Amino acid sequence: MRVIFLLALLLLCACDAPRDPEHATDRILASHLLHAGASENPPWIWFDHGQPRGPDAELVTRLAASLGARVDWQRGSESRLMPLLEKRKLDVVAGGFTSSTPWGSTVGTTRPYGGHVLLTAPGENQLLLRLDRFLVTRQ
Amino acid sequence: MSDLSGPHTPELAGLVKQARRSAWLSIAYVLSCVALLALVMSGSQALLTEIVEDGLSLIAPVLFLVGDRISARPASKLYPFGYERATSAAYLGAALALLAAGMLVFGDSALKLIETEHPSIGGFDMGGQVIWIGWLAIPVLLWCAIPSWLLGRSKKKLAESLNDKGLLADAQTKTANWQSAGAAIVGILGVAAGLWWADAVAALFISLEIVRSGWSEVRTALADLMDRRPQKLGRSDLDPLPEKLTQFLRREDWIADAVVRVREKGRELIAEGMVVPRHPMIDVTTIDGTAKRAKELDDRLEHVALVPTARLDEHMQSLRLL
Repeated sequence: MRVIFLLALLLLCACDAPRDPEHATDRILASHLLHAGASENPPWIWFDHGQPRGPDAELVTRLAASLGARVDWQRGSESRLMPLLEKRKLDVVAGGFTSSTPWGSTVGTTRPYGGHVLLTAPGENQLLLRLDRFLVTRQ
Repeated sequence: MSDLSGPHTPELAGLVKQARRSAWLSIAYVLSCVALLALVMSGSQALLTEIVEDGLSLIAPVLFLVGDRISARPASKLYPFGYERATSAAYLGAALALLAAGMLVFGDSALKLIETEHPSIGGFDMGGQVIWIGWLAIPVLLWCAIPSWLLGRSKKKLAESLNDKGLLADAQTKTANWQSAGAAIVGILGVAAGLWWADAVAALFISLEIVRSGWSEVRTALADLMDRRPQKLGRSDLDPLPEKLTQFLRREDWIADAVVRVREKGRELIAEGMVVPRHPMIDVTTIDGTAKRAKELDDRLEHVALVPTARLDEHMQSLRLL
């Protein structure tokens, strides 16, 4: 028990915590690419000539920009996008979700922003925390 | 054979009062713990089991208060043996709650590991400043751990003085609480370091200990209800009182042979001695005198019944301890 505690403390000092177990933030920062899913749900997010539009789409684009990345969008239904998010093939999914979304038990949910939330890859807590900070400073 | 209910001495009555206060304090404290955890979590599922486990630990002090209140009632025509067994029933309930809490934590953390569930813990908005919920949870978990540890220790002492097993189970629940809160802290530090499994592994280790202690309490509670001979409080070695009583009775001038049975009735003990007199004619005051002195051998003895008999039948012979 004491060993685990000291080990955890050492790891904490060595880097900025919380860390992503699967290194999503590091990958985004290095590749300048954020993989986002878009589940059409007007008036939050919809597609116009193949381009995502609406406040959620704008939010994700700005978020990516704050990490020095551009967005690689994947358009799809919730049932297609969520398994990808759970497997961390996507970093974020936007679709006008509310904080009471049933997906909340399997993936990460951000702080509510304008009454709705973004979903994030499960356990990638550095990414989630950065999203939360971004959302709160924008409010 | 005077009073058949309630604590025997003012000292015991004081301890009971103290135990009741401690139970109320526990209830208020656990509620504060659950409320703080729920506030900090705000949508995160990671600490949910911690909350449920804390909630289950409310059962022990509540049952103690109920059992204690009922057990203090005087014996009546309808309940001629008194109500002391209410504390035994409360003990069984508290023991089951402890076992349930252990199994819950075990099942939950094992499932998390099997499904390789990565706990998502985000930020908490403190007026524009976003702090990671993990960091906030640590002081809250310390609040759920340190007083639990102190309460558990004081309850254990009280339980020993009162010979109250329900209180002992409550003390063990408090131990389980502080241990699992400690495990949760270790788990969160692990998660902060990017080890998704840390939380579940820490909880799994602690749950094994909780299940073990819950299981042993349930077994003891059931055995008590089945009138097994008393064991030392919180231990599995036998209480030597039945042998002591047998020796005492055999040393009496008028007794040729004796077989003693002792059982627990809540916090108290009842003894029954089958005695074979040396002469067929005995004075009742002699029997009363021996019973009275036998009762004084142990504070916990509520009643010693002596049954004179011409000969010990085969059944009684088979129960002979000495």
